[in-house]
Amino acid sequence: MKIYNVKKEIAVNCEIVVLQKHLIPKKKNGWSFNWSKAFKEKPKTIYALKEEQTNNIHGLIQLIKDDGMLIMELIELAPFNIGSKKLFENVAGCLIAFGCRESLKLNTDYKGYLTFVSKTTLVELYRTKYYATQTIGTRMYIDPNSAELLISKYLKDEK
Amino acid sequence: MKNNKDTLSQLTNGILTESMDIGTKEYEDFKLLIRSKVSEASKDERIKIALLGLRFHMEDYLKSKSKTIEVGNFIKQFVQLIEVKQVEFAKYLSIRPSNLSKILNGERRLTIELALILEKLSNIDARLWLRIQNKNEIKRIQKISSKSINKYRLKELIN
Repeated sequence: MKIYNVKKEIAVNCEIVVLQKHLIPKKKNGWSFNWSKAFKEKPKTIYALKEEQTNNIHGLIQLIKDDGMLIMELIELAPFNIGSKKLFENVAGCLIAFGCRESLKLNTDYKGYLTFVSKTTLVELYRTKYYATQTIGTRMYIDPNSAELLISKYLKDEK
Repeated sequence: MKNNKDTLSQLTNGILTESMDIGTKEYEDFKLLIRSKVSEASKDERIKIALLGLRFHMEDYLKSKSKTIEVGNFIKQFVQLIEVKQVEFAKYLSIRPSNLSKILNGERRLTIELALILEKLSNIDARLWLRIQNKNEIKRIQKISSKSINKYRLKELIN
């Protein structure tokens, strides 16, 4: 999968891996969430979008299961990938598409549905850019058809 | 699109979600809603989703170092997912049920022709079916013939 360097206008190869201790991003480097704590509590639920050549972490996603349903509990973009001066495009898309892919691997009654609670200000973005559906409050889901679209858009690997 | 970009450039931190309120009444209602969406899917849609999930399991297996899963096992899963009996499947392919059984149990190789038929039926690339078979065979032969293979040296051959 690829993310795009906005300034240099080049694509960079990335992969999504289960977060390992030496890759945990720190608050002192501008990250907002305490990933060390989350890693201690549920290590195998966190995945990192990592640049293949540099090992730089561009974003993290935590996926948890409840009663067979997959929940995108947390997603955070690296501090250098937010705001008007962000360096890379497509980071959120790759992470969300990865969550969708995991939901399609479930063998439960919720197969293919990725669920999450959006920040109020981002509901419209999730709806238009990631084809999510808003339900009760800001709880949202991405259905299997939308999941397939996102996977083919963001996770495509060259053969 | 302009609005999406504005929303993202206004982010003050990289966190894009709120935590799911597992255990609340609203959360249970949300789960019910997702289940009702799942149950609305037609048989064709259900099978399409299941096959997408199978493809992702196969892709992950190819990259993993986990213990061997025979390609026949994935074919078995395919037959189960499309809700067809093995005898019917063999009949449809115009092969003897005993021969199909041998392929499913790894006693007979998956042919390129059958891989192409599987691609047509499942939308899972013929190369993926065959690469799984190759991966397993390479692993097996490396194990039993490593001594006889390791004796070969390019230097020996060209000097």
